Amino acid sequence: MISTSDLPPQNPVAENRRTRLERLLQIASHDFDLRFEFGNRDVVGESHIVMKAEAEKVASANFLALKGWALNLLGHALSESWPWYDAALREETQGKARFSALWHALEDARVENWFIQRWPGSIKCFEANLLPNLGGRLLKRMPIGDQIELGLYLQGRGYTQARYMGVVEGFLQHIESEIDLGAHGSSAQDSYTAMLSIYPRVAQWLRTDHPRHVRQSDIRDQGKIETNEGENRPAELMPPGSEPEIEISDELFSVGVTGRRQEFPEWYRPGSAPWFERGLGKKEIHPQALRTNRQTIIAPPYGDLELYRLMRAEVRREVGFLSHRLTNLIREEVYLRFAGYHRTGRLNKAKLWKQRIGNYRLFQRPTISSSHAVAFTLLVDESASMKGRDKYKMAMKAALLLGETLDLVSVPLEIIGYTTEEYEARAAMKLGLTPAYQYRTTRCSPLEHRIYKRFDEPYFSARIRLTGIEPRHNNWDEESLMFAFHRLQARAERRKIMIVICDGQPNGDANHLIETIQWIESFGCKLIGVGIDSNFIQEVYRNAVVVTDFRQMAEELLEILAHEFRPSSI
Amino acid sequence: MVGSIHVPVNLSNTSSYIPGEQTYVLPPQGYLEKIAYAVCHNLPVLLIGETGVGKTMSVRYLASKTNNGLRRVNLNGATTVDEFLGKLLINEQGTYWVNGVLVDAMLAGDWILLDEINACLPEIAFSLHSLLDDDRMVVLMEYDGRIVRPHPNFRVFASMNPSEEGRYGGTKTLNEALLDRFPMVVRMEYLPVEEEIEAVMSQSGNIDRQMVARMVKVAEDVRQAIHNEKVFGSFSTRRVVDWARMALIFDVQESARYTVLSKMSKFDAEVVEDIIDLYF
Repeated sequence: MISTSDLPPQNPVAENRRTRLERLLQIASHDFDLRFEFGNRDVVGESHIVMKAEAEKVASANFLALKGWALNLLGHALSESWPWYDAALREETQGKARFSALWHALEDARVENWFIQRWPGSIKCFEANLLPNLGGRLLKRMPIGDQIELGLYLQGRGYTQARYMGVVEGFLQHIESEIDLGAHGSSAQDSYTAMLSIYPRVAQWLRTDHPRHVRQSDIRDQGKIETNEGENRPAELMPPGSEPEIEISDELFSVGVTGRRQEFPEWYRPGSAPWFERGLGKKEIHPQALRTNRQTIIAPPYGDLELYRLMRAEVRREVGFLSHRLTNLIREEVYLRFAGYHRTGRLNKAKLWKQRIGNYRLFQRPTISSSHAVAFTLLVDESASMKGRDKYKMAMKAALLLGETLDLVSVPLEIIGYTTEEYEARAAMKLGLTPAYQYRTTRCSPLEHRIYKRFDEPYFSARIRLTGIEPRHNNWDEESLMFAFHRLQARAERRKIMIVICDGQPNGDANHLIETIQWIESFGCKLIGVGIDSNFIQEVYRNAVVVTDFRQMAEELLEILAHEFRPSSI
Repeated sequence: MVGSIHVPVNLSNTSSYIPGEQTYVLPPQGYLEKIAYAVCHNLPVLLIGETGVGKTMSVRYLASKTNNGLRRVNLNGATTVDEFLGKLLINEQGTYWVNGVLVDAMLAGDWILLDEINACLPEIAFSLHSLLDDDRMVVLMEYDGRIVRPHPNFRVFASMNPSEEGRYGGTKTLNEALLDRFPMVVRMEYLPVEEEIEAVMSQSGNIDRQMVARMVKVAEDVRQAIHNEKVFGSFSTRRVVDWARMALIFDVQESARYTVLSKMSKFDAEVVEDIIDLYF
């Protein structure tokens, strides 16, 4: 098995593409346990496919080409080609130079033809991996062995316009029927048999040609097929090298969701202030770390179904208890209440006597339930410090608990994880701000916000994503609070409540965080800080609770929700 | 005849609610035969199924074939008992009663289809109890406790999307007492591939069988993914019909963008688009 742990950490775009391709392959193969990864070589195994690609290149590659390549690997997996690959290798060790590479080219053509027959649209993906203009004149300059290999593939796929050397062209015409048989067979055996009959005619040119592929069969897993076609990757995999545009002005800058310019607290201006302690001075944001709100939104990981089931089992009791208490609290509001003096609606019989005096406003209409007039945002600290004592797991369970409970009572909820793109110290060093500790009031890394559940999204479709909550880098609470507040402010609900789960170790000056909290609360939004093992938040949040374990957190959350749903608090 | 059941045709019925001629592909699972059996024995039926599996259409088709009026009530969360049973109004002479849709259908002998019954208010659900019980009547408490007994031709059908998985917003788990009062509950599945192709072709007017077959295969693949929680949402036959109909004029992929992908979240739409790309 090839380990991918030694590979550099994949960037979010690459991870997003990996998830998308994994789901595509799962759906196409109807094998929903299939795993797909990017690694340092192509591997096809049972329910496991690794594509040779680097995360950086994947992020900027032509997605169609990536898809074509992934489908090709899936085709090999579905055709169970690997026993024939072993057989081809044996032929090669017995003196048939390049036999396995040539067979592989023909097998690739067969797999793709089979794929196109079943999924006609996949032809676009495979074509995205072809050489532009089928190699043009340059094809003739390739070594003769490579021309034959490519020719087998192209002819097998039905591309006859490529221009080879005369001798190769003649040879390919001569073996057209064998290629056709091999490339349109129903199994890898067909292409293998065809290759056995083709090889003696081509061997004379290959003996003098240096073998292009160096196989590493000693490190190959049993039951896996490795392919070297990754070397023929298209030019589209090159990164474009373009940076996202960020609008910066000398005065205020906008990070609003809708792009509106807004007045922010003093520290929010470029060149103003923070780090955990108070009175550290001005906060600064390095221009490289500036992003608009929209640009800080990162697609959350798809999540792990098994982990979700495990977590769900752990919080099952709390969910049941919490939803039962909440349902009891708002039961009255499940029933429609009628009120008012209208000309239509339900007749209020108690007021019928008024008809005698000519008053016909004797009807009542349903009143809107006030529990529906509240929206929640749950902000989860995803900083690296959350790793200690598995605090992030506690936060994950809290997200599950809140998500499920509020979904049951149809209250809108958004769950956001916040962190930075990189560790602040590392980012500072990369930017040449050394020693890094002197720049701890400067945010050097862009913010990252993962929206695990949106307001308008059913909890059901987001629940597995919640398992993606994990410790990442650093956190600048005040800016992330502002981000979440802007999104919450756009909601129509009358009451807005933000619950922040953190461990009380944000970057920056605490004064700025306090200032921001006061500023947000001045708009009528209620902020509740839930600190895991941290008393610090009691100094920062007006409404703060400190918890040490999940049971305590569940009780505190129940108290918070019960308080918010009690008619007296409305 | 529907399967082995002979359903009487109400030839003398002149109700304005009789549905027009319906294009309908009989599901091979035999749902229609069971519904016909319930009609013959005056049994209320609850139809449960994903959106667009043909719950409403099966009842409408049967009503059309038997020449019975069909009134369809969408029980959204805001439908009140007044609208459902009736209400008192007032004028200079005093108060007078106006029948709601249920009482009207009961007296006229039309069939009634209570759509999305698991989204209705608890008051409405409880008011149905006496109607679904053996005594088959409704007591109008607002109207001096008058009793309304149904016309012999009156039939009750209810439909709902499965609420167990919480995928349909605004729905609740059906009260056990109400569920218990339906003698027959039909859980409907999507049509098998061949029948679905026929249904889509006949309802959309798109006679390009190869194209429709691919659309149905896309739907099948996506449903498998939904079942395995890889995609969230639904891909109903109705959606395939909309897609096939639009594809008569526009490009297949462009049509999919407006009839299928735009109804899904961004994440899911990307995956479904990839699947569509595989077939077209």
